[in-house]
Amino acid sequence: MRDEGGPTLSAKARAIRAGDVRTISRGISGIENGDEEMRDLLRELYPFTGGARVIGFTGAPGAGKSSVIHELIREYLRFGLRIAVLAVDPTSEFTGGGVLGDRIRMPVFHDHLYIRSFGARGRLGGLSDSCGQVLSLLDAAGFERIFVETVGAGQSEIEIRYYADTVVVVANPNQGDDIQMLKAGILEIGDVFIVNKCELPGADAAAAELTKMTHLFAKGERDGDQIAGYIPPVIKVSTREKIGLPELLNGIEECLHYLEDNDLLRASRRRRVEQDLSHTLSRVWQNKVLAPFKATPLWQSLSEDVSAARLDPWTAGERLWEAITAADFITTLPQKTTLPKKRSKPRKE
Amino acid sequence: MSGGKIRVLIAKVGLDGHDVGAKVVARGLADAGMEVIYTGLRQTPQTVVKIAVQEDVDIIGISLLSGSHMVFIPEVIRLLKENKADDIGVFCGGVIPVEDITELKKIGVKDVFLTGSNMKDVAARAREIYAERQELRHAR
Ligand SMILES: Nc1nc2c(ncn2[C@@H]2O[C@H](COP(=O)(O)OP(=O)(O)OP(=O)(O)O)[C@@H](O)[C@H]2O)c(=O)[nH]1
Ligand SMILES: [Mg+2]
Repeated sequence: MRDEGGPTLSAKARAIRAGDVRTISRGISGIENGDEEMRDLLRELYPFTGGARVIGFTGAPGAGKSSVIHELIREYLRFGLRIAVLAVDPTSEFTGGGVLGDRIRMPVFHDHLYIRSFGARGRLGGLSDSCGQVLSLLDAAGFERIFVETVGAGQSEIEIRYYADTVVVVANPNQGDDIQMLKAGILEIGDVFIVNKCELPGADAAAAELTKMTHLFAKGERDGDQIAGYIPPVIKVSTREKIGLPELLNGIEECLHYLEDNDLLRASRRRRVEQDLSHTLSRVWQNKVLAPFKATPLWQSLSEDVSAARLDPWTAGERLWEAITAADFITTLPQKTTLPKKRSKPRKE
Repeated sequence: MSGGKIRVLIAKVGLDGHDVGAKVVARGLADAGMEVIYTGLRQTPQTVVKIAVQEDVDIIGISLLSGSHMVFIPEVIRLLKENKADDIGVFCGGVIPVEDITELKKIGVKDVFLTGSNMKDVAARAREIYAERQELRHAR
């Protein structure tokens, strides 16, 4: 039985625990916009997290990530699970706008399904700082599987490793000869590999090549990101011809089982938490230390000296560090420049 | 970096097989700095409202060419109310006879853009609708 949280919870937290879509949606917007009140809500919800499994999807643009998620949703719904999808799409760094197109490929509605599109909002990697918070909210809302579609380019494909329990890498047949070219990084983060569009020529070759690579990695040295003793499956899928979808569900669930049986889910949760904590700490450092520090005479005079080549940047860096490590450092920072207030009100466009 | 971003749902309801216009508007609003979600063709008022609530959009822009606007649009508005989501602003566009515009505005449609409207006007109106909605939310 799911603990609904009892009367000590706020109305909003209770609505989210009960799966109220509107409150969940508004909560996610609040997180995205950095609303202050979200911190209290998340504090209330956090004890209820831990039930969700996060599955990340990455792969080149157009590889079929959204189509695969769509078919998987249907497979999963048959098991009565509650599913959430976070689909991240690139937005223009210049205008901040964009058409978030993943959802068109997922024309499915169900009481147990929640789909949300995200603009990468110009953030490096596309997975926002808010990703961890949004996942916690959905987890507390009782979603049992959360699918995250990354923009499939740049840093996000590596970052998803920190947030997902299982990462699915979507490749295509035409990459047959190029599989070796798939960035080593991608091969290292995958827990399940699929060759989507497998009805097209070249699928067998691509799958064989991928299998070879996964074994190579399995035998080789594994770093902390890899699951010890686990060899990622390579599955041929066609969303068009409806091939390989139950097999894909099995592959994902077996990976999750493996993690569970070997007490590794805790490790992936731990990895997510550490990523979140470092995001939080960088933000605090940026706002509470670095920003006011830049306004101090010490910082100003040192940067002046470095610009005039009277001093080298490394020595200047050491002096700044000395200042920071002095016992009374925080009290020397200018008082006025406190946290730049996060806006919850609309910005004038 | 933070601060609200205007989120818009562009919706095609009914059986129209054409969505060039809808896509042009989607692109135009995206270029104007908004996050735009497009439903794809042949949605029902129910699915449009479901998507709007899941995506927490500020505005729904409904595109219609089939002439069934007097059936679908009031239904979308009714369902928004039913879902306590009527703080979402609705505008519509496409092929709509001038004589229906007053009626649509009476039931709560914020604006009607006929085929050939200037994208700048649509974006400007979307910003106004967003601002109104923001006030509504604060008042609640
Ligand atoms: N032939 C074939 N085409 C497919 C298959 N699955 C998806 N596609 C097509 O591949 C194209 C891209 O599919 P999406 O699901 O949007 O791919 P994506 O990886 O989500 O794309 P982005 O989000 O834009 O990076 C679409 O035109 C699909 O119809 C398949 O199994 N076979
Ligand atoms: Mg996609």
